[in-house]
Formats: sequence, structure tokens, C-alpha cells
Amino acid sequence: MKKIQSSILYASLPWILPVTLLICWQIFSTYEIISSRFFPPPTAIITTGISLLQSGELYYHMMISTYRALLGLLIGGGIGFLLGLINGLFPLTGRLFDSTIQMIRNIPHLALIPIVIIWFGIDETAKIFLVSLGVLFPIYVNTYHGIRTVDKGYIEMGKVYGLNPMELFTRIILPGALPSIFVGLRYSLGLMWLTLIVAETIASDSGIGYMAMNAREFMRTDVIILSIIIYALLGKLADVIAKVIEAKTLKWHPSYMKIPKK
Amino acid sequence: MSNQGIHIQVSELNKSFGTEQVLTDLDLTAKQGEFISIVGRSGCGKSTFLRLLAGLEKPTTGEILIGDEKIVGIRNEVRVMFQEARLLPWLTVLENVVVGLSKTKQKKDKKELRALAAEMLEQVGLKGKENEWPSVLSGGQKQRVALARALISKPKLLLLDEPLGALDAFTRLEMHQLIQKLWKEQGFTAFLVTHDVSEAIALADRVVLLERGNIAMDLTVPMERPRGRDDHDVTELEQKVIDRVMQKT
Ligand SMILES: Nc1ncnc2c1ncn2[C@@H]1O[C@H](COP(=O)(O)OP(=O)(O)O)[C@@H](O)[C@H]1O
Ligand SMILES: [Mg+2]
Repeated sequence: MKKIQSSILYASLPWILPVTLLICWQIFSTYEIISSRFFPPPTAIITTGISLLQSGELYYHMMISTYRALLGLLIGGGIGFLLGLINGLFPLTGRLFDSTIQMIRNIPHLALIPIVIIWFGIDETAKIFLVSLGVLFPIYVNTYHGIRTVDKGYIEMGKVYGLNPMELFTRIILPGALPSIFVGLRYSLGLMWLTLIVAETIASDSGIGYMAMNAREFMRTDVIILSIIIYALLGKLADVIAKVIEAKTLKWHPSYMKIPKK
Repeated sequence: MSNQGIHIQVSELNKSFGTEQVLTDLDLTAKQGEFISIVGRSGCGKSTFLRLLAGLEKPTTGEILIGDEKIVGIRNEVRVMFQEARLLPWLTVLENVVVGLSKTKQKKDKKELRALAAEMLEQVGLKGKENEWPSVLSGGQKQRVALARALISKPKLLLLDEPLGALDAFTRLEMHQLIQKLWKEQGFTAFLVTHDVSEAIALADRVVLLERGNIAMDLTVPMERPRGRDDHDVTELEQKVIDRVMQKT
């Protein structure tokens, strides 16, 4: 009995601090010990969230943001993956393109925002362009690296055992590069949301970032905090999905293996 | 014994990398189904010789005949076992063995291939491990899988480049028995590179000593198999080879 109690206590240990903090926030804000204009109480944020959900406004902005994020990931990630594949597989194109790509990679893509606004205005293209650019390089670098570092011994074995070039790719090179590609993907997901937050906050007329920026004009701190929380949740969700896919795809990998029976 | 081994004729084989001459005018013949062990100091060109036999390298001059044909590249009737098992970690044990049937798969469906692989796994004593990932196997078990993969296509020539080098003494003895059993059943021609002279003698019909890119000694092992490790003739032969290797020149 004692043991069970102590294990529950142990499990809840990490939650004590955040929960206490939330409770304090609620109390201080409700009794105006701190300004509820600057720090609206958590319950008020929840209420705001519910009413925005009911009006459909929240759903609309979330969908727009998710759409931008995913389209950017698809375009940028797709290009990064393909470039990484080609440069990794063919030493000659690797030699031709890789150092140029590495050079461009060094430009912080968010620094391009002013010029991107000039090029594309503040419509969809600008945001999707920025997200694509942000996710392209991590996926490129990790795909390229993953393919280049596949154990040459496996490839030699594959050749001796009569695999044709296509089979060498699908059965040896690609699976061998996958762990590295996933590292790139997970890193990209973080950059994807980050880029989107910045882009939507600076130049947009829809999306979560716009919702927050618009709320600023009316001092609606509750909406701003809600937006921040939603970004955090979307980011977490993307990471969890990626993790699940990774664990399923790499189930052969010792670090994903369930402890063997017996 | 099925008669699937093949005759190998190496003539005037030279191999150099840049300015480094690794093999010099090497001549060697292997009869159908003969088991030849190759020993020699590290760096004397044993692996290079096997890679030439495998078609992974091209001779600088000279040629190797397999049957009546010149080896010019990788051939489907030649299989190699490497020092590391080189099992693909993302395939199960069974799927790894199926890789050994790559060239024949056009004719058979997946189920048949898997059945063949399961049968082969049973022959190397790994029944029940079909669906494990290679990373959970011991070193000896990995090499058994590699052996199953090498032999499932019934090759005519098997090349073994120190495949047991990383295993402990008991596992090696087990592997010797297994290799010998499968060799008797299938009758392939075999070249085994090893740094263990007693292993070379235990398994082979002939022990060839490579030195400075050429054959320094070529001994027939006449004793009946299985050969006891403490058999007088065996130890005598072993000593003879070691003395020759250690001889200062
Ligand atoms: N691909 C290669 N390029 C250059 N030198 C090589 C290559 N492969 C082997 N060598 C050289 O050939 C010599 C023999 O190597 P190897 O056949 O691996 O010896 P062993 O297997 O007997 O230890 C070594 O000196 C090695 O450096
Ligand atoms: Mg070697």
C-alpha cells in the first residue's frame, strides 16, 4: 500500500510545479493581485477558447495555419528530399550542387521576409514559400548525409547477392538512410511552425498568428495566450505523429525495439 | 553428394593498386568441390584474392576461369561470406535469407521463397528465429544466418573471408561442423581465408600459404574428416605451416 502511494506521488512529481503555478495565476488574476488585463486567468482563456470555437473563428484560423504548414512541408520537404537523394546517390551531381546548397543554407530564411513580401505580397505564396525554405535544408542535409553514410559493406553484399540498382536502392540505401532522414524531418517540423508563426504574425490576414496579432490591437491578451497555446499544441501534435511514424518505420532499430520476449 | 562444385583455374594473376603490387603471377587450380584454405600474414593479399574470385575487383593482368568461363564481374553462382555477417538490420532473419535468392525470384512467388528460406534456416539450426531482427542475435547466430543466405541459392563457389574471426572458440568449433556438413551436402567449391591455422587444417582439402603476393606453400591435408584437434598428424601439419609463416627471410 505504502509502495503504491509513493509511486503515485513519484509519478505526479513533475506536475506539482506547473499545477501550483496555474492555481496561483488563477487566484492572483481573479483577485487582481496581478492585472487581469495583462494576465487573464486561465479560466477566462478557456472560456474565450470555447466561444471562439463556437463561432467557428478558431477552427477557420487553425485550418488555414495547418494547411500552410503542411503544404510548405510537402513542397520544401519534397524538394529537400529529392535533392538529398540525387546528390547522395550520384557523386557527380553531389559535387556540382552540394556546396552551393550548403552556402544558401547559411542564409537565415527569416531574414528574407522583407524581400519575400515585396516578391509575393502577404498572400499565401509568401508564407508557403518561407515554410518551404525553412524545412528544405534540414531534410536535404540529413537525407544527403544518410545516403552517403550507408554502410558500404551492405551495398557490396547486395551487389554480390545479385540485387539490381533499383533493389539496391529500395532494400539497402533507402532503409539505411531512413534514421537520418527522420532526424531531419523532426527538426524540420519545429522550423515549420516557427517559420509560420513569424510569417503569420508579420504578414497575414488569416491564421493563428494573424488572430494573435489582431487581438493585440484590442488588448485581448486572452486570445493572444490562446494562440500561443494552440501553436504549442500543434507543434507537439506534429512531433508526436512524426515519432509514431518513426517508431513504426524503424522498428528494427535497436533504439526503437521493444524489449524482446523472455 | 550432389556434384555442384565448379573447377577454378587461376593463371598468371597479377593485381596492383597504384604502385603497390599485391598479387604477383599467381597460379592456382581448384578441383570441382575442393575446399581450399588460404592462410598468410595480414596484408599479404588474401582478401584481394577472394575479391578477384568474387568478381569485385578486376585483375591487372592474368585471368581466372570458373568452369570454362572467364570471371569478369559478379556472378550468380558465386557467393561470399564476409568477416562481418552484413545482415541487413531492417530485414528479419528470414527476409535476410531470402536476399540470397535475389536472382531466382522471378520464377517463384514470395511464399515459396519464404518457405525455402525457412528450410535453409532450419539447416543452420535457427528454426524459430525466423522473425527476429538481426540485432538481437549473437555473433555466431548472425554468421549462421549469413551462411544460410550464402547457400540458399546453391552456389557453385563459396568464398569465406575470415567469417569466424570474431567468434569465440566454442562457437567456431560449432561453425566448423556446420560448414563441413553443408559442404558435404551441397558439394560447392570453397575458398576459406583464415588466420587460424588449425581452422584451415580442420576444414580444408588443401592449405595454401600466401606470402608477398604469391603461393609460398601448398599442402594437401590427407587426414580423414572429422579431424581431431589433437590428432598427431594434424598438429604436425599445423606446426609445419606456422614454422613456415614465422620463418625469417
Ligand atoms: N582497394 C584498395 N586500394 C588500395 N590498396 C588496397 C586495396 N585493397 C587492398 N589494398 C592493399 O592490398 C594489400 C593486401 O590487402 P588485403 O588483400 O586486404 O590483405 P589481407 O586480407 O591478406 O590482410 C594491403 O597492403 C592493402 O593496403
Ligand atoms: Mg583480409
